[in-house]
Amino acid sequence: MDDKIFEERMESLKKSYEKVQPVSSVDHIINKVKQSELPKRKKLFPITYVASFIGVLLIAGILGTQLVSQSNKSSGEKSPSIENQTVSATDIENSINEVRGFYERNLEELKEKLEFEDVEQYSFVQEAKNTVESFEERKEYSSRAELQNYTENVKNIISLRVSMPNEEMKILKENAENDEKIDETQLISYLIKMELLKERFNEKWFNLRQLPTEGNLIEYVDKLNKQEVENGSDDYLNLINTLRANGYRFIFITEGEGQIDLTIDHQIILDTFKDMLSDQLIGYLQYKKDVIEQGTVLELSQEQLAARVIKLEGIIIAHPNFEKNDDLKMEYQKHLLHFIQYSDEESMNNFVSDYPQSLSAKQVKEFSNGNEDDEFVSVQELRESISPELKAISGNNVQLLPLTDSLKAVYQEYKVTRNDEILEGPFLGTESAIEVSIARLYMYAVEKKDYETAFYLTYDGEASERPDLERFISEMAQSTINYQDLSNKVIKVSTTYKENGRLIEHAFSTKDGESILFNMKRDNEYEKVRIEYTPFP
Amino acid sequence: MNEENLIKKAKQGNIIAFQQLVELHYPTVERFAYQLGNKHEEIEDITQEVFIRVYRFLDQFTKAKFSTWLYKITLNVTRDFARKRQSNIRKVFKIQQNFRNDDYPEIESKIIRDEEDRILHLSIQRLDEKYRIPIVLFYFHDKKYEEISEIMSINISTVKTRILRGKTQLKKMMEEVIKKEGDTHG
Repeated sequence: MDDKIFEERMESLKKSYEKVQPVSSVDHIINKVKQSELPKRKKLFPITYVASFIGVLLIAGILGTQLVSQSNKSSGEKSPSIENQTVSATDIENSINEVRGFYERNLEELKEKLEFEDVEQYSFVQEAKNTVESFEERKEYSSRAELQNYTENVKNIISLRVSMPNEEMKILKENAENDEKIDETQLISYLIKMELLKERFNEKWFNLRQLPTEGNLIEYVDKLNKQEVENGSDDYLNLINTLRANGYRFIFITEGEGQIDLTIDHQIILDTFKDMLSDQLIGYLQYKKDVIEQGTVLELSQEQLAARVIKLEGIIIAHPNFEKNDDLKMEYQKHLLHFIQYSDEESMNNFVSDYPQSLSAKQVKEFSNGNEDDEFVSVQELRESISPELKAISGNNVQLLPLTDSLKAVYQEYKVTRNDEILEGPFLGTESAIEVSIARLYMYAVEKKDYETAFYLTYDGEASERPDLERFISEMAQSTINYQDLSNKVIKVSTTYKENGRLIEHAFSTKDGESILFNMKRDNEYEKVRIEYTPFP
Repeated sequence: MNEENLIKKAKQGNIIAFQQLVELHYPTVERFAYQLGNKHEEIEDITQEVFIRVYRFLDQFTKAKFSTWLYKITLNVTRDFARKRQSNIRKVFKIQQNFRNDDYPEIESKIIRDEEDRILHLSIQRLDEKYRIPIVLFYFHDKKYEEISEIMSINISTVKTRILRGKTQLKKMMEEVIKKEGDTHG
């Protein structure tokens, strides 16, 4: 069918649609609107009526009772305000449908925008999902106002969490403008969302980037940030715009052999909320921004390193309960250890005399004094000697679910082929180490109830207790293991190698301070790293 | 009174202004709801619900174009009605999932009288929601890519792709119908 005929047919149908007679009546619609109208202001008189009659009741007994009954009758005849309208099961069901529909629509939109099916596995989406589930469980409300408030609150959480970072930022900004203050807990949740999505965006950047082969890369980074790049595929140019619109920026990393990397643009947050931010958040954001501008440890002189160590110590000690403190502690650790490792005696002495009251000076002094006896001090020992107030949770930041596109491709290929070679990595664009990535594949398989793939990802070498496939599947189906829950809570992983590297012990630390062990084993012969089977309880 | 003033007055609680807004827009809402695949007998309820929501959330309306907002609400109401129909099935609604091919065309013949147009209408209903919505907005509501992208909350390039793909699928369906008719008639 050629285009001309197609257009003619569509035009003809359009005319047919226009001939269809409307079925609604404006009056009818307006009546329905009026019936459903919720009173805008709380009507006080029914409550004052009742209150005064209660007073009469106390004083006048029977007479009072009669008056109360009259009052009830009269208030019943008036339309009751939303505060005391009773809530029927249908009202609750309607609200549940409304909220569930809203959540699912937002989820679908987010899937489209991120071009990603497993969006629901992100912990920020899980947060909204759990809120919706709690809402659905509640079956009693004292008034329609309560139901309505709860419904709106849940929908607000959905709008915030099941959205792209730029959409969440827009809401935060509007709220801040209306309230003339910013809810910092929400702002930190927003930052965490940005961090979680970075792996995905990073992978896209890694796959689509089209860097110039000639010219100055630092100038190119500037062009990227100003969205002035003109050469490249549509996908590449769109990605640059998406990343900038969503609050990320590009940086040139000297340590990464001239790579261009992606980071959160903290300046945007500082500029947007200016005077509304607390000192702790300003300290954090400003620090992150300085790192981008001045460089990381390798780019700094010893004096600059020393200044940064002291600055970090100051922020951490001043705000011990700040939610992002662990980030700062990791930075502190990195800078302090680098300073100690690469300083001569004179630099260390200067540090101690320049900042005599600091905890960092105390540690530098201890190291400097002890150095004569111990010729070699390991980094591990140095790390352990850091003051408890400044010590970070051990391990590296980790994200378990969802998988990156490259890991998902590995999962799908392995599911079909069971080809062990593809598990050897590296998995481009994925930020986790290979062993952790294999653990992620296993967790993903279990969450998707693909127990067969999970079975083949478990260790079956020497001394393995793994049962046969059928029993494994039946055990997994009954198991209460919830890796999604672990993924929602986990922040770090610390990996130790035991039994000459054959046993790999991952300790996952959660936000609540829990530590969960997850073991993997390496088969000597093939060097396969697989999940250690734990017998079903 | 122009639309902007009507909205302003309606926001302040002026029901006459709101009534005029309804008069202006209800035929479009009805038509759009029908084109999305809602059953004809549900159109009235859907239209009412759209305006109830418009009235309830009017004070939150700050966007530049009222009709864009109205299309969005109609889409949401349509989806919620479908959810109600499907009661406890908690899946994202794909309009026309429960399409009853047997009795539907008969009812349609009373609404769209031209047979060729009716067949095309039914073919559009067979498209997946993601293609059907942009096709309907583009061809029957004269919407530009930008506005469709806003109504559907997707980017412009996705709108273009979907219209193109939807069109290809639709042409294919129409060709099949023509071929079938040719086979039947000799």
